[in-house]
Amino acid sequence: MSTENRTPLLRLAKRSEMDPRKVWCIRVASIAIALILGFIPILLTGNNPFAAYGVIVQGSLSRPIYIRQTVKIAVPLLGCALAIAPCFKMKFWNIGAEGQITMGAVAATYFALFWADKLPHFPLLAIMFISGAVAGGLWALIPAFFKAKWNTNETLFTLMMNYIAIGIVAWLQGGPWEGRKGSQLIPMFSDNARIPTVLGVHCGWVIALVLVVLMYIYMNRTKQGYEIAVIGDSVNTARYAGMNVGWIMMRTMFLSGAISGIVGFMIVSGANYTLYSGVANGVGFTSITVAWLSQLNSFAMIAISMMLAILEKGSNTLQTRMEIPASIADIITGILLFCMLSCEFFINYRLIFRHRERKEVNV
Amino acid sequence: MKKIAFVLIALLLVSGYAFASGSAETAAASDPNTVKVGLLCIGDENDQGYTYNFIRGRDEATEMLKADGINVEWVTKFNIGEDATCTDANIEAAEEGCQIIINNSYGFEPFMLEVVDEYPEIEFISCTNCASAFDGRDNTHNAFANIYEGRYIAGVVAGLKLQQMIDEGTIAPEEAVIGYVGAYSFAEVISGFTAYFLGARSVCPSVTMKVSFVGSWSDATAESDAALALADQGCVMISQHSDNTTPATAAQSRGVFHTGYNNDMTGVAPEASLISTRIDWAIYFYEAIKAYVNGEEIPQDWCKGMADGAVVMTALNEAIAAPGTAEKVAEIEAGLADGSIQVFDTSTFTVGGEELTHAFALDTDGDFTADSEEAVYDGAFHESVFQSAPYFTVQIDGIEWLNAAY
Amino acid sequence: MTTLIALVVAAVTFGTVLMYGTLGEILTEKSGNLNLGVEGIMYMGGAFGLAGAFYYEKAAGAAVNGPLAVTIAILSAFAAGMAASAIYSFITVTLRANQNVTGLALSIFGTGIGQFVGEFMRVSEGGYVALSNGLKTFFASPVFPPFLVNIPVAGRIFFSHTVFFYLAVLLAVLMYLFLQKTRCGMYLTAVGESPATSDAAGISITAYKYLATTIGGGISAIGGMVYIMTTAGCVWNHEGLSGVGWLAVALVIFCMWRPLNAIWGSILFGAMMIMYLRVSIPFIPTEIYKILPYIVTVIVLVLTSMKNSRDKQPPASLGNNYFREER
Repeated sequence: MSTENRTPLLRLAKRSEMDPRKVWCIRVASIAIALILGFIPILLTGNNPFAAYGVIVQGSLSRPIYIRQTVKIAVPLLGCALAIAPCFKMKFWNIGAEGQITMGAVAATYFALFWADKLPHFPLLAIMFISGAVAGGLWALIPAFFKAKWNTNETLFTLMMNYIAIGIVAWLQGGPWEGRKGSQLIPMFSDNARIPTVLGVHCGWVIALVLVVLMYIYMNRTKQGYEIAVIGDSVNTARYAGMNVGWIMMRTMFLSGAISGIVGFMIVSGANYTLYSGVANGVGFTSITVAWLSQLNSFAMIAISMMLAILEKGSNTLQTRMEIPASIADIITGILLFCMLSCEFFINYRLIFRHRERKEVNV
Repeated sequence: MKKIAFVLIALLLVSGYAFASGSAETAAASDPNTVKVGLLCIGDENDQGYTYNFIRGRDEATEMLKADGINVEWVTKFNIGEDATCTDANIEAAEEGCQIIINNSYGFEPFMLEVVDEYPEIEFISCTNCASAFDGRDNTHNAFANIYEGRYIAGVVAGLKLQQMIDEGTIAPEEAVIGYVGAYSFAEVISGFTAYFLGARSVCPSVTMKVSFVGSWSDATAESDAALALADQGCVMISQHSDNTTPATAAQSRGVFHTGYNNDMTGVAPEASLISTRIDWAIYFYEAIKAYVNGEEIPQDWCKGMADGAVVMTALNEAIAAPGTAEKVAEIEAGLADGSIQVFDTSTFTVGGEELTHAFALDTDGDFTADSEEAVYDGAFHESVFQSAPYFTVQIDGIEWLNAAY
Repeated sequence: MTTLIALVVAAVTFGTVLMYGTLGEILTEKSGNLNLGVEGIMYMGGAFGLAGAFYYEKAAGAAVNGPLAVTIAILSAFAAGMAASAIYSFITVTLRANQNVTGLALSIFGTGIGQFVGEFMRVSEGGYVALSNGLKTFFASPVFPPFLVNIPVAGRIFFSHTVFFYLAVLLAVLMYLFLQKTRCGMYLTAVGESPATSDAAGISITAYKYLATTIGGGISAIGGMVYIMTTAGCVWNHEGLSGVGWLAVALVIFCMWRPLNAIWGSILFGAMMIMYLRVSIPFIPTEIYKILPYIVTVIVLVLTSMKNSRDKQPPASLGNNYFREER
C-alpha cells in the first residue's frame, strides 16, 4: 500500500475542467474497485463474495420492510450530511455533528417525556422539532464562537463537544430521567410523542428530502450561500469584501447544528422512541464522509447515504444468514470511502510522466 | 475502461442477487419438527460469562430436543446493544423466518416490545425481564430462574472460606469484607448480592460487604477496575453480577478469593475462584421450544429453581475451598429443596436496624415503584414468586453501596 | 494514603494505554497530519496484537516464551498500525485528499477490521480467544521483582507496573530527545509548522510526513494491544476499545504536542476515567466524572488559543495538505 510518491518520475498538474460524464465514470469505477476489494474479507471467512453481495442487496432491498429499514438508516445520514455541507464549504471543519445530534435529541426528549400528556400531538411534535433544532444549534455555536473570537481550532473543539454531549445523556439515563430504578433506561416515548409514518417509515424522510431542496437553494441561490463559498475560498478575500467572517461562521454553524439537532429529534421520535447515550451511533461521523464524497452536492448525498445504508442493513442480514461478522459493513464502507477519496485525485490532477534520464535526486 | 467498470459493477450486483436468491428461508415451515429460533445476545462467547452461558444452554437444548426428534435451526446474533439496534435485530430475525425469538438481556425488552405486535404469529421471549405477564399479549414471554438460591450457596462457600481465614488468624474477624461487582443498582442485582451476603453471613457472622456498581452489564474493563478497586479497599473476597471473567482475573492478581457467575471461572483464576453459580438455560429452552412444537402455550412467565436443575453450581475448587465445604453445600441444597431454608428469612437480616415486615413485589401501574402483592409472609421475603424477574430492592444492614449512582 | 496509592496505580494502568495512543498521534501531528483515525488504529492494534500473541502461543504450545510473546504482540500491533496509517498517508499525502474525512474513514475502517478480526478469531477458534494464564502474567504483571514492588509506598508507585508502562515512558523521553535534539526531529517540526519553507530548504515533505505518520500510527496501535492485554484480561472485547482513541486525540491537545507532558497527562486522564470507582464525591454523578477529560481538554484548547502563545499552539499546518504547485 505504501507506494512512495516518486516525484522524480512524474509530475502533477492540476486539471482545468473534466468532462462531467468522465468524472462520474471515474467515481463509479472507484466504487466498483472498492466492492472488488471487499471480496478479500469475505473470502477470508470462506464464503462466496458474489453470494455475500447478493445477500447484502437482498437484505436491504428485497422486501418492503427491508427497504423501510434501509431508509430508516439512510435518513439521519442524509440529514446530517446536509448539516455538514455549509460548514465544510466554508472550510470550517465541524466534526461535532455527533454531539449536535445528541443535544437535539436531548431537548426533544425532554418535551417527549414531560409534556407528552399536556400537549396535543402536532403542537408537541412542533415543539420537539424546534427545541431540537435550537439545542443542536446552540451546541454548535459554542465552538463557532471561540473560533470566531480567538481562532480556537474548531476540529478539535467540536470533536471534544461530542463526548461531552454523550456524557450528559449517559448521566440523564442513569439519573434524573431513569425509568425503572437502576435500569439505566429512559422510558419509551408515548405514542403522542412519536412522529407519524409515511409509507411505513417515519416521516423524517420527507423532512430530509425537503431539506435537500432547501439546502441546494440556500447554497446556490442565496446571498448567505455565496458568502459561505467566498469564505471557503479565502477568508482574506471575504474580509476585503467587507464580510463579517466571524458572524457568518457563527450563523452557519448555528444552522448546521440546528439541522443536526432536527436529525436528533427524528432519531428519538421516529426511530428509537427513546433516548440513550449512543443515540447518534456514529452518524455524525459517517455523514461527514457522505457530505464530502457527494462534493457537498445535496442531491448526490441521497445516493451516497442510501449506498451506505444498504451496506449496513445488508451486512446485518449477511450476519444472520452466513454468519459473516456484521462489522464487514464498516470494512467495506471504509474501503469505499478510501477509494472514493482517492479517485478525486485523478479527477483533479493530471499525471505527466517525465523521461527517465531527467530523473533528479530528491531529498 | 470506465464503461467496463460500470458494466462490471452492475454485473456484480445482478449475479450476486441471482446467486443468493433462493438460499434463504428454505428450512422453515416445511417440516413440522424443525423449528427456527433466533437468539439475540448482548455479548459474545468471548465474555465466558453471560452470553457464553446462553450459548451453552442453546447447544445443550439442541441436543436434548434432537433426542426427542425435534430439530432446531438457530439464528444467533451477537453484540446487540440495549438500544434501537435491538428493535432492528428482532425485525431481522422475524423476517428471516424465526418462529421463536429469544432476547437474552434485560434491557432488550422495551425495544423488543416495539416489534411484537407486527408479528403476532412469532413467539418473543425476553429473558430476565418482566413485562409479558401483564401486557395482555399472547406472544410475549419472560423467563428467569431462582439464581438467588445459587448465589446463597456461593455465599456460603465464600463465608466458609472467610471463617477459615479468621480461624487461622490470616485476617481479623472485622476484616472479613466481601467486595461485590454489580452491574446496576437494580432489583435483579440487589436480590443477588443480598442472597449472597446472607449465605456468607450464615456461616461467618462477622462478614460485611461493599458493592460497587459499574453501570454496564458487560464492560470487561470497568468490571476489572471495580474488582481491583474493591480489593484495594480491603475486600478479601470478590463476587460479581456482571458478564465477564475479568473480576476473577483481578481477584487473582490481587491475591484475594472470588466466586463467580454464569461460568466456572477456575480456568481463568485457579488460585482465586472458589465456585460459580449459573442458570442452566437449556432447561427453559428445551421446555419452551418443545411446547411450541407440540402446539402448546409457552409459559408467559417461567421461573424454576435449583430443585428443577435450572440453577446449578459449578465444580467446587477443592484445592482452595475451606475443608468441609462440599458437605455444607449439599446440606444447604437439600434445605433449599425441602423449604427448611429460606434465603430471605426475615429473622436473619435487618433494614435500618429493624426487621423487614412489608415489601411489595409488583409494579402494576407502570410508575416503576412496586405497589401490589405483599412479598413478606411466613417469616420470609418470597422472591420470584409473583413474577420471574427478581423484585427484592431493599437495602439491608451490613451491605455498603459504594456508588449508588448506577 | 493507601487509597491514593491504589488510585495512582490504577490510573497508570489505563494511562499507559492512552500514552501510546497519544505519543503516536503527537508524532503524526508534528508532521502536520491530523490523523483522526486513531480510534480505528487502536482497534486494529488491539485485534492484531492479541492475534499475534494468541497464534504464537497456539503454535508454540507448552514451549511458549513469555518475553517473545510480548515482543510478537508489540510487533503485530505496530505493523497493523503502520499499515493503517500508511493507507492514510497515501490518501492524504500522495493523493491529497482531505485529512479530516480520510481520518474519519480510517476510524470506521479500523474499527471494522478490529472487530472483524476479533470476531473471526472467535468463530474460527470455536468460541473463546484468550491467552493462557501463564502467558497473561507476562503481559499484566509487574515487571520488577517482588522485593522492589513491596517497598512501602514507593514500591507500588514506581515498580508495580507492567513492562508496557516503562516502555511508554522510555518512548516519551526518546521522542522528546528526537524532537528537540536531533536534526531530523527539528526538520519534522519544521515540516509541520511550515511545509513551504521546509520544502524550499530542501526537506522532503513527503518522506517526513509518511514516516512520522506511519511510525506514529504504529505506536498508537500498541496502545490498543496494551488495553486488551492489561485491562481487558487478554480476551478480545468487542466494544471495549470504543472511545479510547478519541481520548488519545484529546490528550494530544491537553499535552500541547509535547511528549513529556504525555507521561503525566495520560496518567491524569487515566485517573479521571477510573476515579468514580475509588473516590466517590457525593453530588457528582459518575458520568460527569467520565466527561472531565474532555471538558479539561476544551478548557486547555480555549485558553491556549486566547493566550495565543506561539509554543502552545497546534503545528501551524495541522490538518492541511501541502501542494507544492499551489504555493
